[in-house]
Amino acid sequence: MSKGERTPHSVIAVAKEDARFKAVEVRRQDRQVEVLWSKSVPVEKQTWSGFAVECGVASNADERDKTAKRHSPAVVGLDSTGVAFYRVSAPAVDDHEIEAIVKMQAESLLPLPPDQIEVAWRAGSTTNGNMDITIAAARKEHLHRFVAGVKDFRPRGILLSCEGTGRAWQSLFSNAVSQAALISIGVENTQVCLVQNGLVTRVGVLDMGMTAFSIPSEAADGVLERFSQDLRVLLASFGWDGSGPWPVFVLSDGGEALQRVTERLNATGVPAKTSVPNLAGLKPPAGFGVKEIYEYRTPLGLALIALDKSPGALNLFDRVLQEQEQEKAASAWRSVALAGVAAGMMLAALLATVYFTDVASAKRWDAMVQQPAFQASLQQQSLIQTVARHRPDMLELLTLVNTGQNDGIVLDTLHFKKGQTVTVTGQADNSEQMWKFQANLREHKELKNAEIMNATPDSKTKKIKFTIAFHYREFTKKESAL
Amino acid sequence: MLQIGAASAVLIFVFTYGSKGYDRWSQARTTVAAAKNKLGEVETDSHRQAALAMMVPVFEAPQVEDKQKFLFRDKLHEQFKKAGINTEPLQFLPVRKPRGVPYRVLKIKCRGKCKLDQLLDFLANLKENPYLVAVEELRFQCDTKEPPEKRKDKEITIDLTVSTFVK
Repeated sequence: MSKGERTPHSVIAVAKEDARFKAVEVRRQDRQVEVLWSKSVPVEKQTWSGFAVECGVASNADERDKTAKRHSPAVVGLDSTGVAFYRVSAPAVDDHEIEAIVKMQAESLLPLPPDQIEVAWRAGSTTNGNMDITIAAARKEHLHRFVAGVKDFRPRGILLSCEGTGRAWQSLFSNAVSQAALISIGVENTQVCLVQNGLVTRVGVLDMGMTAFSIPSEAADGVLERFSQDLRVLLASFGWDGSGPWPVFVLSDGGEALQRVTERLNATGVPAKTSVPNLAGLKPPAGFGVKEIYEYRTPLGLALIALDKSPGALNLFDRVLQEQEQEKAASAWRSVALAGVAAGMMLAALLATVYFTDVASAKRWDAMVQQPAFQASLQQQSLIQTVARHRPDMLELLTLVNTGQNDGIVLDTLHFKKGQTVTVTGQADNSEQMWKFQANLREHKELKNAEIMNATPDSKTKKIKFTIAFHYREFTKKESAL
Repeated sequence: MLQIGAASAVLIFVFTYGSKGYDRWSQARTTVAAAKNKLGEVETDSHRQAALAMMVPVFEAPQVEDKQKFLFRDKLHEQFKKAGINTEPLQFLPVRKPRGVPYRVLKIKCRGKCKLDQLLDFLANLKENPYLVAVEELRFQCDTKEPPEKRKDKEITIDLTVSTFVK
C-alpha cells in the first residue's frame, strides 16, 4: 500500500493456502476486530477470478450489470513457496546505501540474472554497527503472472502470506512473544518463520505436511523423525542452537493431530510448544471458532496488516505494479500511435488513389477530346449552332403577319432586313381595321413593338394607306446583321 | 534522435517529390476540367437537337471563297429554277468579316418577279441549300396600281439577299 492511502476500516484478505482459496472480510470496530464473513474453496474447483466473483469483489462475465459493486478494499497474499528469503549483514548506513548493498548482495546470492528477479528488503536490528537485513526475492515472471491472476480483486496491496501468518500469530494466538520460530504445518508442506519484533525475518518451507503425518503410526514415526531432522537443519540456518535463543511454536487448532506432531518434535529434540488461537479481542461471526481462526490464520493476518497499515512489510510488488502501469501506458500510447500510423497510411492511400485516378482520368479524357472525329463533330455542331443563331425563318415571319382576322387589310409591300425593323405597307378600309391589324401583330411574342409609322387617307380609293414597323425576334437588332 | 532523423527524411522526401507530384496533380485536374468543359459544349438535349435539325437540316463546312461562292450561287440558282422564279443575274456583294463569327461572310443579291406561291415554295426549300447561312434581306412588293381584288394572280417583285460563310 502506498503511504498516501487512508487506512481502511474494513478489508477483504485473500490467500491461497493448503490447496484452497481462502478469504475473510474483517472490520475494526472499537479496538475489536470483527470477522464479517469467511469463504474457502478448493483450488481445483475455482480460479482467482471465479473466487473474486464469489467474494463479491468482481462481476460475473455473464451478468448484465457489470458495474463495479461497492466493496471493501482487498489485499492478497502471495504464497511463500515461490519466494526465497536471505539474511545478510551490512554496516548501518542510510537507506540509499543499504539499497545498493542489498542489490549487490542479492546479485551474488541469487541464481538468476538481476533483471529476472525482484527483490524486497527490510532492515532489522543493529548489533555492533552491523545491521541485519531480510531479503525476499522472487522471479519477476512469477510475480507478473500472480498479479495478472488476482487482477479481478483489484488488490490495494499484495503481501507475503508468511507475513500474514506471523501477524496472525502475534495478535490471535496464545503464547505470543517478541521473537519465536513459528511452525505452520499445512496439508502438503510446512512453513517455518522466524518472527522477531513482530516481523518475519526468515522463512523456510519443508516438503512435508499433515498428509505425510497421517499415515499409520509406525511409518509416521519415521516421517516425523525425518521432518524433525529437516526442521533442525532449517532452524539452525536461522541461528538456532538447539534450545534458543528463541522458542519454537507449532501453530495449532488445538486438535490431537498437531498435538501429536508437537510431542514427536519434542521427543526428537526440538523443544516446541503449541500455540492455539485466542478469541480475545476478536469478534467472530456465529460458528467461527478456534478451528476457523486457525484455518483462516493467513488471510486474517493479512487483513490485520492492512487494517493497521503496518510499516515495513516486505513488498515485492511495487516495481511489478509500476512496470505493469508503465506497460499499460505504453500500450495505450502504442495503440494511439498505431491508430495514427493507420490513419496516416489510409490518408496516404486515399491521396494516392485520388492522385492516380485524376492522372488516369486526365489522360483518358484528354485522349477522348483530342480524337479527330470528336473535334470535327464538335466543330460541325458549333457551326450549325452559329448558323441557326443567324438564320431567320422567313416563312414564320410571313405566317405571323398573316395570322388573325385582318378583314379589309391589303398588304402592298413587306421589307425585312437584318438589323432593321420589319416594315409592311398596306391599305385598310378604315382606321379600326388598321388598328385591329396592329393589335394582331402585337399579340405575337415573336413580333415586338408593332407601331403605325404612317397612316394617310387616299382620296382616290377612299382607303387608308399605312406603314407599320415592328421587330422580329433578335434579327432586327443591329448586331444581328452579318 | 532516430525519430527526428526519420521525420527529417520524410520531410525531405515530401518536399522533394511532393511539390512535383502536386504540380502534376494540379495539371491533371486542369486537364480533366478542360476536357469536361469541352464535352459540356456538346448539345445533348434531344428537343434542342430536334429544333436545330429543323432550322438547319443540312450544312456543309465552308470552303475558300473562290470555291464557296460558286457552289452557293449554283445551288441558289437551282432552287430559283425549281421554284420557277426568274431572276436577274445574281450579284455577289463584297466579302465582309463580321464580329463574333469565325468565318467571313459572302452575300448574293438578286431581284426577280414571281407569284406569291412561288416565293413561299422557294422560301420553304431554301434551308435545303447546304451553303446558305441566312436570308439577310427580303423585300417583296405587289403592283400597287392594280386594285386589290385583281392582284391574286399577278406577279410580285422580290429583292432577296442571302449569305454564306467562306474560309
